[in-house]
Amino acid sequence: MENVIVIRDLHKVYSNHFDVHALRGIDLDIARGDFMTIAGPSGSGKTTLLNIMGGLDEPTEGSVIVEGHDLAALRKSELADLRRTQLGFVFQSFNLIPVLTARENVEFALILQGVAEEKRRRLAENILREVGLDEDMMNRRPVDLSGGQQQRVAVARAIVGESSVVLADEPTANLDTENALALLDIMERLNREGQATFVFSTHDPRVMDRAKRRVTLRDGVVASDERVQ
Amino acid sequence: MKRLPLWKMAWRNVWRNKRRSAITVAAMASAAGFVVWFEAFGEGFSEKMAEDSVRSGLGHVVVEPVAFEKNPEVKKYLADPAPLEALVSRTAGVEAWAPRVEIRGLASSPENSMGAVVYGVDPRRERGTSVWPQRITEGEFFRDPDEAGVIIGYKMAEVLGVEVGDMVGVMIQNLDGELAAEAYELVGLLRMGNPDFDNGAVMLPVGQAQRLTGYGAGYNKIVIMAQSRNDVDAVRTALAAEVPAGVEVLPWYDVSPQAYQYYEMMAGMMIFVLLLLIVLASFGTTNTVLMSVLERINEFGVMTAIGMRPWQVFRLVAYEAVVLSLIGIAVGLTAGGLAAWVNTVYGADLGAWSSSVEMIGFLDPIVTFVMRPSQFVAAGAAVFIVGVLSSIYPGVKAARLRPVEAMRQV
Repeated sequence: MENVIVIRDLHKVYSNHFDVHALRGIDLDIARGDFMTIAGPSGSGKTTLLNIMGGLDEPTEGSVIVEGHDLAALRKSELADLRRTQLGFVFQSFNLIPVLTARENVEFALILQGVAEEKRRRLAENILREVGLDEDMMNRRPVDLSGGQQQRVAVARAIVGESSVVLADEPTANLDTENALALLDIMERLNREGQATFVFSTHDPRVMDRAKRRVTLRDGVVASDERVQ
Repeated sequence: MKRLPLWKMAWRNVWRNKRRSAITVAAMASAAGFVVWFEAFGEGFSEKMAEDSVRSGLGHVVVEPVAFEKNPEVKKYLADPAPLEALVSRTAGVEAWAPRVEIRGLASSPENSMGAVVYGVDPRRERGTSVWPQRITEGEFFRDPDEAGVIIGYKMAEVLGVEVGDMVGVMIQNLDGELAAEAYELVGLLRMGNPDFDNGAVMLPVGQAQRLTGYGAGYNKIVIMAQSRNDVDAVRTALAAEVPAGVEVLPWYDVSPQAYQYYEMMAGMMIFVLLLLIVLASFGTTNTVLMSVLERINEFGVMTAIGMRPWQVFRLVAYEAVVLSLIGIAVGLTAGGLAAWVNTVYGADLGAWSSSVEMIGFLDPIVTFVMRPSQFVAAGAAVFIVGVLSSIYPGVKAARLRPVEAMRQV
């Protein structure tokens, strides 16, 4: 199967008063269509790994290749372009733009990708309906939506631009079980329909139960990597 | 790439913290409003300074012997002024003119004596040329160019110990180089609010001054009032082209460089004060915009994470400053314009600073503001530029954020 992300000998050291080795030589191939979790205890390096995969942080050593692009070779603006066109992000604390409505938040990602106005409005409304938001909710700003609704908007924003990979950092951490399961249903369906590869950084068993592949990190190295039938 | 809704986002961001935005708008409005008001005041002040100098006897344009201002000797006079009077009368832009004898001399009483500038004036023509006839505080101005009377500054009268009705001696050097003296009845006291006149002016009817100097029908200068100060250069140029050799035509700002220097100094001071004000306003604005950026570091991190370019982040911050500036400018120009307009109608009374006002040479303490469209353009542009410049540092800071670090901020 074709790999969308290839990681080789990835190291990350945070240097402050003393060095903290967050990643100590990660090798990982993420295949197109994966619905995988990166789990591990706090401090195991899962968020760091996700950030480096998304070009949000830089490794100390090693390489990350996303859709054929070596991230180390890209300039800041080229990294922004790659994130805009290939990657979608879902964050633990939703992180929607507070001054934009739910629909505008989703449209914002499409504007960044240069989609024409009529098309992006249609795409945004379709994807928001798919994640379960009605017309009224679409026109609300984040502050007027529940946590679950906000996270659905975040998922919609991550996948609307036909991003090949969605990187989700603890997406269910702030959701109750009902909302968490509903969100997972949505992401699972989107993955099944072939819209995106999903990589979750999580220690939420509700997410891990749904994963088709489970990678576990311990002390900055891959402790296990299993595919679930 | 299609256009990002940066203006829409900037507009909405501005209203997220209404109190802070209101304070910023108030600061910018105050700056814009004060600039407009102060410029209108400065313009009115300068105009008044120039106009009061002119109406205090200087005139807009003067026709006189060459180098008379530099060295006002008694020998320098217009011996045959009739052709010049005819020339002045037919020159376009001239509203009024008056002949003047102007020589140095001495005024004396039985008690005291003091140096003076002796003016020979034609009372009929002087009414259209200077405010002297209206500034007689006791007695009255001359009625006839030949009457035997003298007018002196009120402070000089105090020094000489004379009152209206007393005799005052006037002594000068005449055309032959001899001392000529005459005693005249004091018919009026002059109060200009200007020490040069109040302490040092002696006025005689022009006929008496001509007799005393031996000028015959001649005198030292023709003082001209143009229809407006804008006509000064045209009048000067027209006259200069036709006056005979040995005669020169000078505008007011060459006759009295001090008055012009005051005028120029005031303009320079205005610019300095306005720049200072604008720099101070820029600190406040920078601080507010920076605070608003620092509060939203996480948000900028998200925007960058989902693919917004640094330049677009910078523009968003700059647009917010532009929105704040435009609102501040609109409010400030309206308020400042209205305040200035009230002062164009009713003037501003500087009576509380009467001694300073007299020192400057104002005839009265009322300054009528002068409003011009350029003042609004300058104030608006200055505050707008300050607003945009204030956003540069916060904007660069936001654009340089690393998403992973920015998103860690709460």
